[in-house]
Amino acid sequence: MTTHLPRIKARLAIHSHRKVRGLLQGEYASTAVGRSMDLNDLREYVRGDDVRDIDWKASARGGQMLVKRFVATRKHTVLVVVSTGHSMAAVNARLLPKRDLAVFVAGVVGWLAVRHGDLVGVAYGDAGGCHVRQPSGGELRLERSLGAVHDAITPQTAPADLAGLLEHVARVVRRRRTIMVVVCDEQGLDDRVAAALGRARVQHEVLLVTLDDLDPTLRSVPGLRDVDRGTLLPDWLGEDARLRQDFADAAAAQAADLKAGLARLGIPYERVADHESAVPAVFRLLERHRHARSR
Amino acid sequence: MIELRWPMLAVSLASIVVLLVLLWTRQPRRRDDGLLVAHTDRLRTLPRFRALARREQLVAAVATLGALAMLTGAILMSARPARPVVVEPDRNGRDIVLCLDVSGSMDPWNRKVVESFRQLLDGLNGERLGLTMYSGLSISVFPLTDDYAFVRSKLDEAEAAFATEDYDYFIGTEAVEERASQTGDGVMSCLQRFDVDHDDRGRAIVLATDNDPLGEGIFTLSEAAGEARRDEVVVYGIGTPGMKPARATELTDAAEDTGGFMSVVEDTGGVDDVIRGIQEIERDRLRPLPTGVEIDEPVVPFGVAVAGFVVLLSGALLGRRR
Repeated sequence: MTTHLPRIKARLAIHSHRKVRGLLQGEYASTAVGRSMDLNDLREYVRGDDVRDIDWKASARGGQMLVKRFVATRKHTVLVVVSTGHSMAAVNARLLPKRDLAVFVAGVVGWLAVRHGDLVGVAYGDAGGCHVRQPSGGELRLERSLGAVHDAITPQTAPADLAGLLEHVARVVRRRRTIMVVVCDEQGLDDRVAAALGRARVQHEVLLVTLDDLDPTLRSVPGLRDVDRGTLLPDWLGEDARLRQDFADAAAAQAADLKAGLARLGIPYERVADHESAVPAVFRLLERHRHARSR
Repeated sequence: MIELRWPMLAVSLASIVVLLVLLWTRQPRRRDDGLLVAHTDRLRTLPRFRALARREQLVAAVATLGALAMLTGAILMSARPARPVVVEPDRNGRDIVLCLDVSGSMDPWNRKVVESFRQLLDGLNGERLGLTMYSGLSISVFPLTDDYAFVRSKLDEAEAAFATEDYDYFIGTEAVEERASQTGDGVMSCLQRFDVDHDDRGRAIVLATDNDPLGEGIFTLSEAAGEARRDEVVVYGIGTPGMKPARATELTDAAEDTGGFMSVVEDTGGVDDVIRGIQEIERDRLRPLPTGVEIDEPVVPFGVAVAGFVVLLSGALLGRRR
């Protein structure tokens, strides 16, 4: 049962030895000043400050009215949204199961949040139904959520419906402002998904991770099966250079379209190809998110 | 009109094929093998993919058509398509032995008999001719054969011998004892010329004799006639104008006993007509009945099968050479 998180921790441990030790400490920029136990600094009293914040001893020493300022210890909520259509049961360009990769990315994000002491919620679903697991800070809960996501992805499940999932999340998560990390395998950006992402962008900090698909024309892997139809793909796909070129062009155009659309929405996104590149991709994403916030 | 000789075989083969195809297509497809690929729609919408798919479909359709034609042809061929035809047997299964009494008085008659037979040769087809001479003894000049060139040469020889009264030619028929023109013995030895294992062939002896024996033979003419009847051999007698009435009657009785007849030719020119008459009667008597035969007609299904094979092969080659 508890198999997902240990693997993710192991990979993160290897990774953190290399270059991102520092990043682990500072993934989230929480610079909001508010009330908490941690004293940040003192400043001169201005009218309107809470009288309870006046540091009487310091005021007596310094001869002026000083008030205490605190670092806000607002707990963030990280909401990992995983699109679990049957296309996730397929393999990606490196013949890795996209399911494992999706769970891994969700796990990395979730684990970083848990380490940071934040709450992690997981939403997942497809055209057949959506589920939102309430945010919690527990490691075990995260593990179970990852298990649920893993089990939800089979070749027999309904097709992916990212827009529907986002709409469901918008209905269920109403008040909370979260850092929403969307893990999906959308290759393009249709209007409905764009609208749902735009809607989410208003409420949440949205980050997006997409997973690649195998290009069936690129290499002659025998016995490729179309996950949508359950039928075998024709065996002559890898033999036509023009088809390969056309497909590569179409895929590149779609990827550019997706990138442009997300840039328009102001959503940072990363493409993840395998487990090794997933961790830096997640960090890059968080980095961009932090920069975007501090701007 | 072509009909199938073994239609049930075709039906069962066809149903086996249909059953196999059904089994093959109804087999639940295994969904769990092979790598799964998602988002193939963007591949399927490519014009190049559609063009290739159309071509593949065309090739597959052509190959399927070829296989179908091959199967159909093979099944039809296995059912043995045949055309019923009525066959007029073009060969006459008859054996005729010329039995010539070569006592000196017979020479002109014999020459005419041989000559008219030689003229008849052109009209023969399948009949076998044999020539036996007898007087005191009998010898076989040539056995029953349908080698007409050989027969012709032998008949020429005999005719020449009769014309020149070549004594050397007949010397084998001279008995040591005082014995000549033994018609009974002659007929008996002619009967032996028929080979026994051809029961289905008509048998006839054309016996040219004046039936004037000298000395004692082994068989009488009536005994020989009885033997001939037992062997189902018809004896046609050709008598000479100068023969004694009693002898002529004996010959007539013997011939009629076997189902034949005897005619006495008035002059040498009449032999032709007698021989021709015998030929006619024999032909009528032994005309084989036309029989219904089914001739295999595998050309069309074979052509269909071969054409199907060629189409299938070309489809396969076309599909391979992408």
